[in-house]
Amino acid sequence: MKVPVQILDLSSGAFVEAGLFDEVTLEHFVETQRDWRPMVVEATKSMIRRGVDPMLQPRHWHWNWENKVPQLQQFGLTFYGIEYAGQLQGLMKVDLAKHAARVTTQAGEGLAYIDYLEVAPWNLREITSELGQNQRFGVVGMNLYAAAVKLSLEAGFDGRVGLHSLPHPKTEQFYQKTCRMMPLQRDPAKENLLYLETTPELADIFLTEAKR
Amino acid sequence: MDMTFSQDWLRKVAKEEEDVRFSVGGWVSELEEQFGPELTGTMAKTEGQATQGELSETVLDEADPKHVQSGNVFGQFLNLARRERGLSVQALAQTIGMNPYDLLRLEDGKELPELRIISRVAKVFDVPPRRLAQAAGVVIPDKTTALAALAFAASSSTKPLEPEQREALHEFIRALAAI
Repeated sequence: MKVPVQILDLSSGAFVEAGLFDEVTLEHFVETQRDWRPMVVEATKSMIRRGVDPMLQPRHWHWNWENKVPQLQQFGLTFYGIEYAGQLQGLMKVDLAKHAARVTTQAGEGLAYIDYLEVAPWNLREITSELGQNQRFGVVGMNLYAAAVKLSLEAGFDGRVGLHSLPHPKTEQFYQKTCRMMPLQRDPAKENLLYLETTPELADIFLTEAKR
Repeated sequence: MDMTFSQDWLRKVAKEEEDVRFSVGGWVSELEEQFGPELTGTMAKTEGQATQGELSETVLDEADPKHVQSGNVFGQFLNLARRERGLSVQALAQTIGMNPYDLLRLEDGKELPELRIISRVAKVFDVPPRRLAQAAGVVIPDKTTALAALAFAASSSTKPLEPEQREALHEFIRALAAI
């Protein structure tokens, strides 16, 4: 599957057509290592030099990844990537098998759980500004999130999506306000990260707003 | 999947996401789970714009030569597993997204497989990609995988699939899966 998505070229202010695809291969992981990681490392080094609180440094974004059991072909997992101009702009892993809704009225219903979602470092202002560069593309992450909502609908989960937010107030607010997710609990099993979820009604509101 | 959204809404989102860490988890582990820290360790040394092909070569160059001279393990595996499934070269090539000529060159051991091809082949034949990559000599294998690969290489040939070849193939798959 490859479908067009619009991402915002922040240098020109114009939308460009990128491709959302689900045939993620090892090569894409290699690309994240080769092209993404050095930039994140450089930004982290710069923050350390400036004495930025370790909790605010990018390396802490990769919490707990050692415990993941990722397999491209694992049952119930779907991977999405967004590519533009031959470059990977974002990647996401969605688990349709192992998680159930936690909202009381939906308890036990299936949902699409976003296990990983990452945009290229040049699309994150915190990284680019640290390195004195300009952020390149906007709405890459949102397109991936929207794809998870659509996937949930296609899978018969009525748009239910769940995720654990990074411990960052603006990010937690963004999921609530813009993604229309409901904050449920600080999850002790996930380092007290905030767990958020959509209901079918909230997913419908989100998609309706996205069409306006 | 219709991913058409209003540009007004997207612009609004772009404004709202400016200082947001739109990121969950990381990807280093994905690669390590599949191909092991020895690969990511090597990759850390390949700075710059190395292509996938160059990357594979770098990994191979750094492997102990005895590990990659254990015969055409990957090609023989490909050949036997394909025939056992009753797949033509063309059918398998189409499934894993490469042209039949290149697939034949892989089966003949005339080319080193790229990691993404190993990953797709592993998916088709339901074997662990990391172990298959090790057996193929693309990344440094652990001792058990190296021994399994050597045993497989020694027992295989390109002749028609005989019962003992079938058994050797199955034994190799079991060895990869069990490690």
